[in-house]
Amino acid sequence: MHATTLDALPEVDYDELLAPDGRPRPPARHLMEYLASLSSRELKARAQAVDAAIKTMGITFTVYSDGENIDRAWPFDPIPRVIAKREWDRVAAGLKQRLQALNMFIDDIYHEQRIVKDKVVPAEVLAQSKNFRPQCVGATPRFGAWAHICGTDLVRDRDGTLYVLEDNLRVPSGVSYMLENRHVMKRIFPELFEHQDILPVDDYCGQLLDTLTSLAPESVDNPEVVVLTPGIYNSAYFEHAYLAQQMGAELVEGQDLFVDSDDCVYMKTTRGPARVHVIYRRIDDAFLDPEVFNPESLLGVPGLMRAWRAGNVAIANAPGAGVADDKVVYAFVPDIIRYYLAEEPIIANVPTYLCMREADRRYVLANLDKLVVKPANESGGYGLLVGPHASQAERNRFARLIRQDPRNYIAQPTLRLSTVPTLCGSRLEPRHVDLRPFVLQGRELYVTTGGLSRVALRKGSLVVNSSQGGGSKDTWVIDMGDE
Amino acid sequence: MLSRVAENVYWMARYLERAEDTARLVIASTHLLLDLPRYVPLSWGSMVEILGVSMPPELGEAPDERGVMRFLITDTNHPSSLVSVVRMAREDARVSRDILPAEAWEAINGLHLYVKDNAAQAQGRAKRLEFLREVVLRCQQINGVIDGTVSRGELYRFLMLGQQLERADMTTRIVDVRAARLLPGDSELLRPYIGVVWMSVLKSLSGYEMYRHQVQSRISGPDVVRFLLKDPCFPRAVERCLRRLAEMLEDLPNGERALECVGLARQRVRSARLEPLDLAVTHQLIDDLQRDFCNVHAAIADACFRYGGPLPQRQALVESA
Repeated sequence: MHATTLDALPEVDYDELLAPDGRPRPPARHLMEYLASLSSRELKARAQAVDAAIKTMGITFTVYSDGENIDRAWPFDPIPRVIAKREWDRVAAGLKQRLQALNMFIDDIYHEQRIVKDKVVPAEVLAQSKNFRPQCVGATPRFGAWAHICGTDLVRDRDGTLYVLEDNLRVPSGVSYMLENRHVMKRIFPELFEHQDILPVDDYCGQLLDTLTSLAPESVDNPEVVVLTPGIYNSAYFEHAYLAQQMGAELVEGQDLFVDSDDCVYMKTTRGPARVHVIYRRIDDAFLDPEVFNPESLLGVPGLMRAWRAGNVAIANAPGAGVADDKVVYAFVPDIIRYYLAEEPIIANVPTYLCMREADRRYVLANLDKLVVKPANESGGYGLLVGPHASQAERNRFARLIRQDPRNYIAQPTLRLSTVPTLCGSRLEPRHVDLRPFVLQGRELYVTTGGLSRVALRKGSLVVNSSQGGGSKDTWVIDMGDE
Repeated sequence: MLSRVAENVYWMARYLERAEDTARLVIASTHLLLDLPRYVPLSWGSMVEILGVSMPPELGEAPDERGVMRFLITDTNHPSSLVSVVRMAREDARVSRDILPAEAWEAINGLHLYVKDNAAQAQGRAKRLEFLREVVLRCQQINGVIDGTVSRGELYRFLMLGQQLERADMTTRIVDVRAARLLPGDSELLRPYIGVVWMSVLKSLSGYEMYRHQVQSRISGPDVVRFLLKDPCFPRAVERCLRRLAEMLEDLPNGERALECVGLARQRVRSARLEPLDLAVTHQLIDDLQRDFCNVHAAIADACFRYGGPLPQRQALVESA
């Protein structure tokens, strides 16, 4: 059997590269022909070259409490995911629409709360939101933008529809892997890039720098932008260093910064204090400023919130932006888009049941074996119940949790994530994927070309997180001209 | 540049230089061993002494080749072993990745992976030499990348400060131990081999050819020591390292104190009388120089790394100066 012959696809799943009859979808035709031309030995050799490149390039992610070996090579699958430009253009427009509306929502929440007064979003949603920060009420970040960098998780269900699964508005990560995945592919499969228009992804860091620079206090000519990291033990440290390097910004830790009596932020340099105007922070709100939030925090900078409220420093994402990164708020995003923009949402939400609504709750409790139940405020795939795969005891436990704290739970139908052929040993097998594009908003809006495709490397698994056995793929947006 | 980052790259350069010098020292000593007749005792322990660490008790009174090599190369519990200093250099590089050229990071990461994967097999002499030569080559590659790609600014300055200080320190250590202790007295037995030993000293600093070119006569102890301490042109000579340090310190903010310490050391080197070679005098000179180097380090740390607060605890490379 040839290496690239795929086993018959399970009929229930949608494959991104292959149509149900097994023939390549149009944007993947060139790729599949190329793969078919490789012997399984050649393919394996390329895969080994990929692993070696990742090792020497030092593309890593960090695993918590993993003893000595905390810095792991990034798991990467060389078969890319392919999207036609025409489809992508629509998705990109939908992502911009969504972030714009979410920022208007956050700004409204910290000012007049018109959307609550107009009864589009119930007051209790906010009253019980863990990420609502009273310390941010009345603050006025530039352009009304609070969430400047958003990582939106998209999934495709078996009918081919793309849905937004999650809006990550706090400190989304993964973009550096998207960029490095492309570098690796160009290094190992250069011939694939010769005969088709695979749109480049390289300009993200330039766009990020422009976005951050646009946030600086108005009076500043040459703003100093820094990336604030919790340090080397953070799982995304590689990315923090990578982005700082690509932007030419200083990578700072909390201990490198201080707020002086003038309420301005400075960093400690070999030549004395140097003023900082924009902080791209990669630490959670709770650790930002021990004077205001967690007093135990050693990662943050005392006085930072004071400096931010005085308008002397911009923080991206703004403190408090996470109020919209809540799975209950998520359920209202279509209404939020209609309310602020008077437009219909371009990308659909996954149908969501809110356990705080009595009718929804009754339905959820009666159908726990069919649904995925998620806590409102967790990310990274933690603390959720996948009904069809769970034990009865587990379902009973979740039923109790839901009754105790209905506001904190939502439920969604179990989606069959789409698949992409993935190299397993020397054969290709379908594996489930999601897609995380990154959306920026400062003075302007920007969406990455494609995004980070994450793949569940274990057969049948739907969990794509790198901390839980997931890997990633390069993502190609292909311009096929008039086709 | 951030004070914390300046400190990291300074240490990174020190560790890398330390790794290269350790490899060179072991290569040259192994060669020396091959040249000496079996009845001339070469002390493996002298290598441990050069590196300025106390002999671990488990190595015993007269440590053998195997024990010393394991201690100097593969022992992960020993902070000055080759494996350890390369790992620390790589950690410093990892936290400084945002400012290092990608090629420099890849080269340092490559060195780390190579050492990690191959050090254990470097027990036998043949394999060991091959391994150490590769380490030296990779260190030179890293220095080449730095020389060819790093702008002459703050980053370069702190890299050079670390490198040159470590290098000067290492040269004095090799001169000290080899001159004073490798061969106790010029016994009749050893007289024919004195030249070979001094040649090995030069080779452990890659200075044999340059010395030959500079000093066109038979190899002699006083000439070698003078060359390694006072030569203004040889990159591993102490005078040359000090001059480079002074250049790097010239426009450093608050660098006056460090510059003063360097000036003092240079004064000491220049005025030293090395002929005839008196071991007690040489030893005193080198002790004083090593104290000077400590002062230079402390002054740089005060001016650039400390930022008003206490200095973070660093694993010292040597236990005492």
